[in-house]
Amino acid sequence: MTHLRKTRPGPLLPALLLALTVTAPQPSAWASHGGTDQLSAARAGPYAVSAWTRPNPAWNGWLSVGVAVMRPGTQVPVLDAVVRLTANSIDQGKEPVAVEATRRQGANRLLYNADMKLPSEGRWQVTVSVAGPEGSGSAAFQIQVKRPSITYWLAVGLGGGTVGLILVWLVWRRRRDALEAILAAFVLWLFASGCAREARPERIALEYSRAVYASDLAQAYRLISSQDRRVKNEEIYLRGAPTGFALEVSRQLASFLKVTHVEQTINGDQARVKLQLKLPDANAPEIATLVREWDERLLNALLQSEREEITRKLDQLARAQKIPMIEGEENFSLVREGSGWRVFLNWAGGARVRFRTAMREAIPLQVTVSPEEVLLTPGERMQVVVRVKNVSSRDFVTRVGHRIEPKAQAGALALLQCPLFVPVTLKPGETEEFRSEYMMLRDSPDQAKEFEVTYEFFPAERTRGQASRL
Amino acid sequence: MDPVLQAFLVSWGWRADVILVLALLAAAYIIGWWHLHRAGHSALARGSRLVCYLTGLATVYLALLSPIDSFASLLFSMHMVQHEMLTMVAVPLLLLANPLPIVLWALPRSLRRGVGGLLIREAAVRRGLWALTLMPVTWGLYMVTFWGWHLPTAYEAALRNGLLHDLQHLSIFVAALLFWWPIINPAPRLHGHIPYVYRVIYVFPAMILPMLLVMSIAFFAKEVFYSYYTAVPRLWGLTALEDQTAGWVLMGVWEGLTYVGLLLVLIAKTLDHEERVTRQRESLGLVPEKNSP
Repeated sequence: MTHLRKTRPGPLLPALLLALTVTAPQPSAWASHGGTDQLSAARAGPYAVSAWTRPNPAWNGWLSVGVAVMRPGTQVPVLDAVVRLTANSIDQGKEPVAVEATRRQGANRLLYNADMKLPSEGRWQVTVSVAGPEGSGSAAFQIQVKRPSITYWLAVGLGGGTVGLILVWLVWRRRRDALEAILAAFVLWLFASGCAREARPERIALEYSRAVYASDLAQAYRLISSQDRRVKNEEIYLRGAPTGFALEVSRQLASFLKVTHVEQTINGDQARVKLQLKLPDANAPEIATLVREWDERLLNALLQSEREEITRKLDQLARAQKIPMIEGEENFSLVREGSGWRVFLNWAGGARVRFRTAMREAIPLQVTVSPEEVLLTPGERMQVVVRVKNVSSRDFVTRVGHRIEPKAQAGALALLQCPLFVPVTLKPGETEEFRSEYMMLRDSPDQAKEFEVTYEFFPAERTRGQASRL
Repeated sequence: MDPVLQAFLVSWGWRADVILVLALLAAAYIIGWWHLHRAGHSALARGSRLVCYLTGLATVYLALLSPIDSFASLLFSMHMVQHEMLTMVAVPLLLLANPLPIVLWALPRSLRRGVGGLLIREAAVRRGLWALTLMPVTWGLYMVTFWGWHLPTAYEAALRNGLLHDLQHLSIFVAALLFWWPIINPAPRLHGHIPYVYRVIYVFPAMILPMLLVMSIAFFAKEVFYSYYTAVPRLWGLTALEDQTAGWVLMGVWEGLTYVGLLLVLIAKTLDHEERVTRQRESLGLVPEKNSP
């Protein structure tokens, strides 16, 4: 055998190789393949939904879920839905776990994927909620969470033992180059995983700003502190959030948001972040015309080709730097939770606002208001929907008075928009919906903690004098 | 662009274990090849072998981490493409690269001697490999493994369980390595020179029997064998049954063409080999004159 010149490979290549493969993000959704079928083309409102989970049972609570949203019957995939997964503990009263499943989160971009961590063992019910242009619906399945078995720990022990034995052997054989390589890889891994886990407060604040700007409330909710989330549950928070293409186009626009300056103060487990932002002016004619004046129903009814056209034009505008921008400043308080930061909104310190309806006399209207109660923090906006039905057999004209109590603090709750100030004519059996928008002013007094908003209905011919007294 | 096609094109997976193994195998071969090449062993470290090896590894990468893998759980036909890439493309390419002696040269000298010692004539490992690469053994192992995994119970179990699915691919890959071993006969030549006519006899039934099975399933099956595929989105207008038929036909055509090509090569090699032997015998004066009484 010919003698070959001995070359001593440096530690860099194997170290980089090892570091690359160990540190790169690899949630299980990226190791795409099948999984246990939990839902097989089950009906979820106007959709058919199939769902697969890996592993089964979910050892230690880690669960990867893939969801296919399809048209019933044909099983043609629906690719523009918003899919949320909510896991509720059946055996123990644990807090629900909710995540958004998206097509970007896994290897298979036809499926909506998400990884979940279910915090306790036992049975969990996972509800798959789908919202899209054709409506919304949900389907559910149950899953078992188990603690790792003895086999799991044996495998971990064997793996660890093998690595240990290799290290001992290398030390014994004085393989300094190999040891250097392993050490370098370990340091790189520590560094990279540290970077990956703890996103800085300003990054969370920026993500939150982006989500709020995009009206992507599901994403925003995930970035809010658990202390706040205990005060207001997700269902209430998500009311009125746009869905379907309206949400997609908002997200696209939000991706153009830029930070021009950051100030950050970290004090133990609390942080304050000031962001100066450049935001796309969504109401500028260049954008508003393109996105059908932000009419959600119109946007969600667009054909695929029309949607692609809008997306393409927005991209073109962005590339040509022709998107009209406005500048603004936002302050955030954040708290450290586990290994990351979350936005603290102090909802517990917010004001409770109740909505109710009243009728001065027997008038032939059925009126409901939704939501009946909300919690508003200074600076926060909310929408209330008033649904009015004429239950008589003739046209009815009505006007609405609007009263905020206690009157002394009424100024703290600003009414931004109300279409009910003008007389409304309802045909027999007709139902109309009106949306009012409120905002709790930032400088509202501390004692403004409880509000009651009353919508009072009058027959139109008698309203002028009565309404003016409100 | 069709949104399903768009989703397909960006559905790339990421698996550290697969990437690590492929990167290590590639690094080992390249280092060994480079050492041999610099030492003047160009006949062993040929450029074509390096190309074969790297193409083989790239095929494994594409089969396991490209959109083909991601969509294999949605389309039976895509899953068959994946299996054919592993068994009919990657494996022969890797074996044509004659990997064992070249990878040995990537190891430190002490380790190389240790591993080389396992393959000397009297070693138990070599004897084990010899038994494992006997033609009837490799033929039987491959057929049982490959077709066994396509039985509905085993196939669907693999789709539902990631570990089992990895085991499916690994066992099919190893069985294919063994199946192709006597055909290509790389180093160490455990059975010496295997006559090409034996190889023809070995390949012919491998072509005929499965082809008959595959085509009869493809054309006479009236129901979906793998119920898993009935709950998935329907892509490009294919029903589950059409997808199943497409999968079997694709497999039949792919394997059929490979085996026919292989048989032609083997027959050519047989003729060539016989001609060379005759010439050698003639040159040694061992062949009687044609006109002698």
